[in-house]
Amino acid sequence: MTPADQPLAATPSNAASAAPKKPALDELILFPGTMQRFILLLVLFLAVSSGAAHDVIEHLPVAWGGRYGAVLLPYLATCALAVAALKLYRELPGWKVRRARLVPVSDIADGGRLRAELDRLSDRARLETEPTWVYAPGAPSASAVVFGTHRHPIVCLNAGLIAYATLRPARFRAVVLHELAHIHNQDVGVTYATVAMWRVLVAAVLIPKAAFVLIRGLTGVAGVLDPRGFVQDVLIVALVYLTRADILRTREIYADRTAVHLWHVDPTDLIPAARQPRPDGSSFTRLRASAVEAWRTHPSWGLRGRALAGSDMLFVQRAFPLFLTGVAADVAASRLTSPFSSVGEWPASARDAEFWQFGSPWAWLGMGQYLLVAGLAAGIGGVVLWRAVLRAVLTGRRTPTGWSAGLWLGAGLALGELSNSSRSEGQSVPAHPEVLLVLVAVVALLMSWTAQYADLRIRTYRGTHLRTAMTVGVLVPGVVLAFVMLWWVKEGWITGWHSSVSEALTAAELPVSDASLPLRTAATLTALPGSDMSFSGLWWTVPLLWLVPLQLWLARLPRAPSKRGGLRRGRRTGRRVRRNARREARSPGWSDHPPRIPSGKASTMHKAATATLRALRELWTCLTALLGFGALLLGAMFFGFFLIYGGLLGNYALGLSLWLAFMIVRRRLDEGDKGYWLERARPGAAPPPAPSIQELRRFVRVGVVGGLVGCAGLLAEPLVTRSAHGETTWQVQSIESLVWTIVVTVAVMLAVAVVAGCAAQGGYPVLTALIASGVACVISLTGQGVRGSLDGCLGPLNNLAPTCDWQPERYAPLVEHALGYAMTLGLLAAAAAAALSHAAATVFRPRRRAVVSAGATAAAGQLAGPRPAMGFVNTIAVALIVGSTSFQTLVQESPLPRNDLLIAYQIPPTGPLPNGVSPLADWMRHVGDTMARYAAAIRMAADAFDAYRAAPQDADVATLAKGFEPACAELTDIVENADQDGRVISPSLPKDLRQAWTRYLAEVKNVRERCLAARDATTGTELVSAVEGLVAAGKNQMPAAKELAALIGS
Amino acid sequence: MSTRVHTRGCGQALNATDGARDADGTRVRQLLDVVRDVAAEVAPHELPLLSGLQGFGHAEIGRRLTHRGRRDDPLGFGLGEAVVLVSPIVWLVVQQVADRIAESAVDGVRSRGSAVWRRWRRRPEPAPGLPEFSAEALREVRAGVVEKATQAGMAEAPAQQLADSVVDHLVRGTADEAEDESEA
Repeated sequence: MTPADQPLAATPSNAASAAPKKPALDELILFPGTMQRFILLLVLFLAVSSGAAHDVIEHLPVAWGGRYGAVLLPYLATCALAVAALKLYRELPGWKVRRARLVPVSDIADGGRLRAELDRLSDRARLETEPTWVYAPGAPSASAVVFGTHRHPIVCLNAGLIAYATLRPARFRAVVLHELAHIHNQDVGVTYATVAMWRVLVAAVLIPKAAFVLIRGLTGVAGVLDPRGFVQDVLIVALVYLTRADILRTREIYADRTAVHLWHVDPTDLIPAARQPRPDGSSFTRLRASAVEAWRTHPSWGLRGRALAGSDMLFVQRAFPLFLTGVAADVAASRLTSPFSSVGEWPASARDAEFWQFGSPWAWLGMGQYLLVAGLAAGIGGVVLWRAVLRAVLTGRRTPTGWSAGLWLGAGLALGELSNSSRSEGQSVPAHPEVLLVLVAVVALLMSWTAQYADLRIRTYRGTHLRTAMTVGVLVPGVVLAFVMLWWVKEGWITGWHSSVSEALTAAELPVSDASLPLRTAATLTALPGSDMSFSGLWWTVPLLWLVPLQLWLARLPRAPSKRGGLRRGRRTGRRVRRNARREARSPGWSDHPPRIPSGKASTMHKAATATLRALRELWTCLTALLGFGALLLGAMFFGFFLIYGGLLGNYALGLSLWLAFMIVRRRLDEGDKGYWLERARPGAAPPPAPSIQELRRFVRVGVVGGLVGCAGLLAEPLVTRSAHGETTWQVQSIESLVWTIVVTVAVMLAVAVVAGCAAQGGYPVLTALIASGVACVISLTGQGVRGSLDGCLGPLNNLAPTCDWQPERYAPLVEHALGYAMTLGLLAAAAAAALSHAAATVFRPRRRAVVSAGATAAAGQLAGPRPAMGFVNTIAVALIVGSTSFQTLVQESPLPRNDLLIAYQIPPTGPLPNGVSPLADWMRHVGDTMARYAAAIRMAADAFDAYRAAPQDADVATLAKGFEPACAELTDIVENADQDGRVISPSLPKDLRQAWTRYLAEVKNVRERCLAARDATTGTELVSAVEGLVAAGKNQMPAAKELAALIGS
Repeated sequence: MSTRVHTRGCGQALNATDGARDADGTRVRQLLDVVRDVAAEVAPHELPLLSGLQGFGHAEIGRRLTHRGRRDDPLGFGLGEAVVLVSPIVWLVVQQVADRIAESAVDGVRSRGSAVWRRWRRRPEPAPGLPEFSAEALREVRAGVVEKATQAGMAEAPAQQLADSVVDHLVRGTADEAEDESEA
């Protein structure tokens, strides 16, 4: 009489009873996205710990390690916590076994039946790692659990399940296979890594912090931690539990599906009979039920049954995980980079010298952190969108626009920002909450870009793995989001506008009181994204938003309805395979045909010949290996050489070689083409209808027209500005010129975007508008570049140059700076404008849509094959773009500290201007002044020395030495400020002048050192020797001064 | 590589597998034997569970059999169906009654002290055999088994059958011991 003999219900209705009408889509065709969410959680943990360590270190009375310590120590503390978490991860399985009093299954003495059954099941699962089997003798439920580490998983069967091995073997097998599915899907390692890391974080950071706050609250002792900052910690705790539960619920569903589809488990064995009826109460009870379910790590049985019936639900967008992702990403980004806020307190010279230079590790570290966090956030959102778009495309539904995904993700980011502000500012409501709308809008834009690009790519991709296509489609919004977050977090927009126009103007020695509007605009612009043209500022990511779709359009989309019907699949690969086969047929391997030896000769000759051949063959292998290694080394040297010394051409060559290398690698990997991805996922399915697009020509035309209008506007600048302002210095003039360029270009881009958005008619408005604006921007700025090079020869349209001179590099910085702003702020604004205009157009013109979709279905299935010419164009384009980006951002001296930007925006005129102003002449006058001051300082030093010699023998040397103070002060002033002042007067100098000036200043510095030594002398001998040194240094200085004077005089 | 899973009590239990012997060499009935016999009769699917526990000491077996474990572990199967296991029920009830009998029969302080001392020195406690069950005790056992079984979800009739089986085996065990003693 078997206990627990509950009568089995009839076949449950919620399981997969009806056969699906068409084969369900394999849910693994794209990444499920849960691994990225786990990684984001781990990054969040690291971020919380480094943020907490930074808080503690900031308030330490002793500054360990000085400046660098303040930035590095938090990360070291985080590493220590990570190591502790790793240790815990390894120890956890042992603890669990001991605490739960589990018994190894190998101890069971039943003739090895159970063990054999388990071995059979793991053979069926074909796992790479054999799990350890244990059981819990006292647990009555027929369930199992898997834990352990990635390499050593442990499966624990409950006693009830072991009973089922005899009572209900099918059920037993189903549950065991479900657990093995978790191992197969690699859930164990990453789940317990997060568990270990979370426990370490709670023990080492959150509990001490809570205790501290509690003690402070109870005793009223003023401490270092603000209790309001604790709000974010509570949010983080809730966030972690909710995210983990959501991820685990998804993994349970995937494990169920793996067991059913991969290992042929009957769904009725897996899902027990309907246990609880679904709550059919009011919507409030249902809401409460789902709120409770949000914390559980297992989905409800009803949900699991539905997931087995159809894979549809795995492709649907869900808002809540996106919201959680947004919060996690924002908190992670701000806390991870919080140690960098202490850099703000460094002395300005150190900060500028070490933090802003290209080679500075700090800038790259910061960039890396933003790329990681934003890449994960956009990746997670992007994966959700790609899956939803894939489902819509294949089932013929309307594709999601991506706005709601973006809004939820942005809302999460906004909530994170609000909690940040409460932590840093101490107020619960930030000063300017409305700026959050900007953040949400940008994220929504990026997600709509992702959705549109996904739609386009899914319809046009004919390769084997859709994941590869998805990676690109998700990477681009990721890096752009990194750019946005870098500026958002660094500048702390939510706490208010931190830069001051008057401060910037004063630092650049420009007039503040009656500064014109363009001048004030320029000062404002220096605080906005786009001013930082360094690689680590990530400005170069935004142009990808239009370059990537443009490439896709050119490469794959038909120009006109194609005469060739049908589908072209892997034509490029097929051609290559045939070509390879032909080549092999023609020339067999060298080793296949050894030279024929005449049969009559002695066998020794034959042996000698074969031996020689073998030796030669080995020599050839060695030679090729050496050549390969040498080529690699040469390539690396080439790389470095071109990067640094090659100039612009060198960087183009670099871009070219990188692209070629990438193509070669891709072809190598592409070998073994397995066919069209859709064929493999749904055999026999028709390819999705071709995208309903306009031809590229239409919107590029809009862009070209806009660009030409922009050029006209730029040409008209002198006519406009000269009439507005009368007498202005050349500094102000060049800044105003830059502002005019930016304003005209951005205005043109916005207009183009609005027009393109209206004209898009349902097909990819954001993509086409971005391409059009990008084209307009490029044309306008090229025009400005040409105009600048020809400046001076244009008669009434002359702007800054009085004489006609072909000097293209003079105007290049201006175009470059304008590019920075136009391609970042301008593009994002254009995308927003396009979206708005498209929305308005759809509202006001609904009838047009029906016409367009009819035309689209007619062209279904017709897609242009890959065009060979496009490969060439791609190569050239990539070489140009990569080359110029790397040249500009790595080799040139940008980025500049913000205060120097306004100085850098000034283009000195080449010769004296009509009003007699010549910056070079001013600079030479400045040099003359400096030399005069130097001479005066030397005279003061000489006077002090005379005073010393005239003094009686027993006079106090120290007081007499103080007489050197005025001389030393003057010399110090020269050393510290003369260069800076010179830069303000004339930012650019001819090379020889600059070198001579630098040498002169170095010698003056030596003289100053001696002067300081004399001033600090305490005995007579010290003083005399210092003065002797001073005289010697002064003698050294004379040749440098002479050379400088000679150059100036010439 | 099951390096993490230790079989505790392996060394201790060398003499437990073939039945402990009393001071005068007679075979002492183990609670585990009783439970095993009951399971063999009523719930043979639980035999593998019990066979895995043979290597442990008496107290350890008790702890392991009655440890219910957590419910919502990650990567588990979820709330599986509850199976009514007879072994923990039988063990608990019989152990309780046996303890009560033993307590009232033995000199309190000394044996408790020596038990504590032994546990502190980590020496294996001599597996306590089952005491003699009076009729009163057997009635108690029966009532307890029925109650616990019905609490766990068993129907009335199977619970009664289980209780009968337990009592039978306890009685039979006493009879066997008496036989051994008479033979020795």
